[in-house]
Parts: sequence; C-alpha cells; structure tokens
Amino acid sequence: VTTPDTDPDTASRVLVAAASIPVSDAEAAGFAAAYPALRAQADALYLSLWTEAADTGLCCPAFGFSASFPALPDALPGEDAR
Amino acid sequence: MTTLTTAPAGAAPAGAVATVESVAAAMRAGTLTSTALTRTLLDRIASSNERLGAYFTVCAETAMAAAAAVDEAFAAGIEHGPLQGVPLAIKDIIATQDAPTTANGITGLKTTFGRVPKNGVVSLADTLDSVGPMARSALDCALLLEAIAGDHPGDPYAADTPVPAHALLVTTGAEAMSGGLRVAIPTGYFFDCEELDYEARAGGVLVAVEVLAAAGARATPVDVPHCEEAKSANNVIGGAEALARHRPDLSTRWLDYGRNTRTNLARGAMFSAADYVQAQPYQRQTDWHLQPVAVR
Repeated sequence: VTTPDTDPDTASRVLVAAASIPVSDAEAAGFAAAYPALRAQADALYLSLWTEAADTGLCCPAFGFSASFPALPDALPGEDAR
Repeated sequence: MTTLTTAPAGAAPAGAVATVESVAAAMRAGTLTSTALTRTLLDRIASSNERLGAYFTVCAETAMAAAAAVDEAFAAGIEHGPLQGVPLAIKDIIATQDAPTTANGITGLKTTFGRVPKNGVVSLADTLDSVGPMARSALDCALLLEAIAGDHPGDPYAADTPVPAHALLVTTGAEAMSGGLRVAIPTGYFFDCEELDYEARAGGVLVAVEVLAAAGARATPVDVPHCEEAKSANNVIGGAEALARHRPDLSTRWLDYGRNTRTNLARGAMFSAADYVQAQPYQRQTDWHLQPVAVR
C-alpha cells in the first residue's frame, strides 16, 4: 500500500501546499528528494533518548522528571500472573 | 587632518582594511577623520558592489552626515566610546545561505544565545539565533561585542547578565590564560563527524587548542552525549521556526528570496508540530550538558 507518508513526492507536495508555498516543479522535486532524509531525522527523535532513559533509569533534570521506573510486580491486584 | 594613505594600484585603500582599533586610535590622535574614512569606504563600495553584490542598502548620505557630526565631537573633545567615528555594516542574519562564507579572511564571533539582543534582527529561528560581530581581528570583535551585548526589553531571550570587559580580556590575553582560562574540547561527535575532514579538525581546532594551551589555558576534553540527535533536533527546530517566521513572505514573495534560501526556509514544512515538540527535550538536554562546561 502506498500512503502519502511512504511516497515522498506526494507527501512533500501535500505539505508544501498546506503551507501555501508556491514552489516550481523543479523545487517540488527537490523537496521530494530531500523528504526521506528530513523525515528520518525527525523520526529518530522519537527513539533513542527516550528509549535509553527508560532502559538505563537515567534521571535527567533536562526532562523535568525521573525515568527511574520502579520494577513492576509480577501481577497487578486481581490480575492473573500469567 | 591627515589624508588617507594612497594605496597601491589594485589594492584596497588604506583604511578599508584597517582595524577598528587602529582607526579609532588615529581619530583620537587627530591623524584621521571619520569623514575621510567613511568617504573611502563609500568609494570602495561604489567601485566594487556591482561586481560583488555585498551591499543591499548603502546609507551614504546618512553615513557622511554622522561622520561629520562625529568629527565635530572629536574636535570638541566629546567622547562617545571606543567605536566613535567607526563606520559599521549590518548583515542580514540569513544573508549567507546562498554563498560559502568560509575562508573570507575576517574574524567572526558566534556569541552565546541571548548575549546580544535580537530586536530589529530579521529572525531565522527564534530559539536558535544569535548575532555577533564580524571584524578584522579578535580585539575588534571584542570592542564591538562590548557595545552590542547586554539585556534589552525588546528581546525576551536577551540575557540579564553583566557584560565582561571583552576588549581588556583580549589585550591582556596572556595574563587571563595564565590565570586559568578554561577551554572545553567537545570530543566524540565533533571529531568523528564525517562532514569534517581530518585537515579541518587537526589544522583548525586542535592547532588552536595547542596555541591556547601553550599560552597557559587549561584544555579539558568533555563528552556531550546525543550530539547526533541534537543535530537532528536542531534541524527540526530551526526548520519549523524559520518556516513559522517567514511563511507569510514565502507565500506571497517566494521569488524575492534567493533560490537556496527560500528552499531552506520552506523545508520546515516537512516537519510536524509533534516533531517540533519531540525535539524540545534534546535542545534542553544539550543545554543541560553544556552548563557545567561553562564553569569548569
């Protein structure tokens, strides 16, 4: 299935049009070419730092909270341990 | 009054390549007037700007009138500070995106965010922009920074912290370094970055560190984690903020922007509001990791 997210040309054209930016065809092609790398940069932000914080119990004041999660019990009250 | 020295054919006229320090001293010694210096620079602009396109607006009449007033102040013994009579040019913060700006033979200073108020500046990215001096020497940059740094009610990001005597620190550099100037060397990403070749690293940063260390500075390697992600966050934040700031003009005056500039500004459309929010912790985290560096 091809969605706007996976088709760089469609996705970038939709986004540029949504911003009311009057690009030429050549410029639209440039955005389409750059789109995968730009999305990869943005998508990477959803992964490493938060995952690492949760995995390592990192406590970082920059986040404004502690990521030192207490160990969960084997089973919550009323829940089957399986 | 002393007329500016005639320059060799083909060379820039004297004064056009002089330092702030030297022309300010000459004006106070009565060997140079602001009027003569300003006229020389305006003539140079007139003769080369068509070829270089370096100046968008030249305020010749205003500059000459200001220079004449300054010369009268000098004659009356009125002192307005170290930049009195020195002509200045203002560069748009985004005016370099269409052209390479390295190896230009001048000294530039990337100031700490908030050190210089930005009201009146055409913004690129509100939470990332910093403005600073570009001049012939480190001392000239220090003189200019002292004049433009400080808090200002027109910029909510301007830092309410005292402005050090930068020029004095530069002129007494050896003593300052022997007194414990600290230089943090960010290891890891900054030296592993594939975009920088070895010559750029060894020939630039490391040699500069050696010079500073030989003069008495303490060089300390520091680890700043998550730099790769911080760079991505910087691109997202910068792209989104630039689009937000320029979107009305990009929509209606697209071709008035330079080709590379307009496409760089518009790439912020590729990011979502969620991307922008997700980038914020990286900005705060990088700032958090760099805070201790400033006091080591």
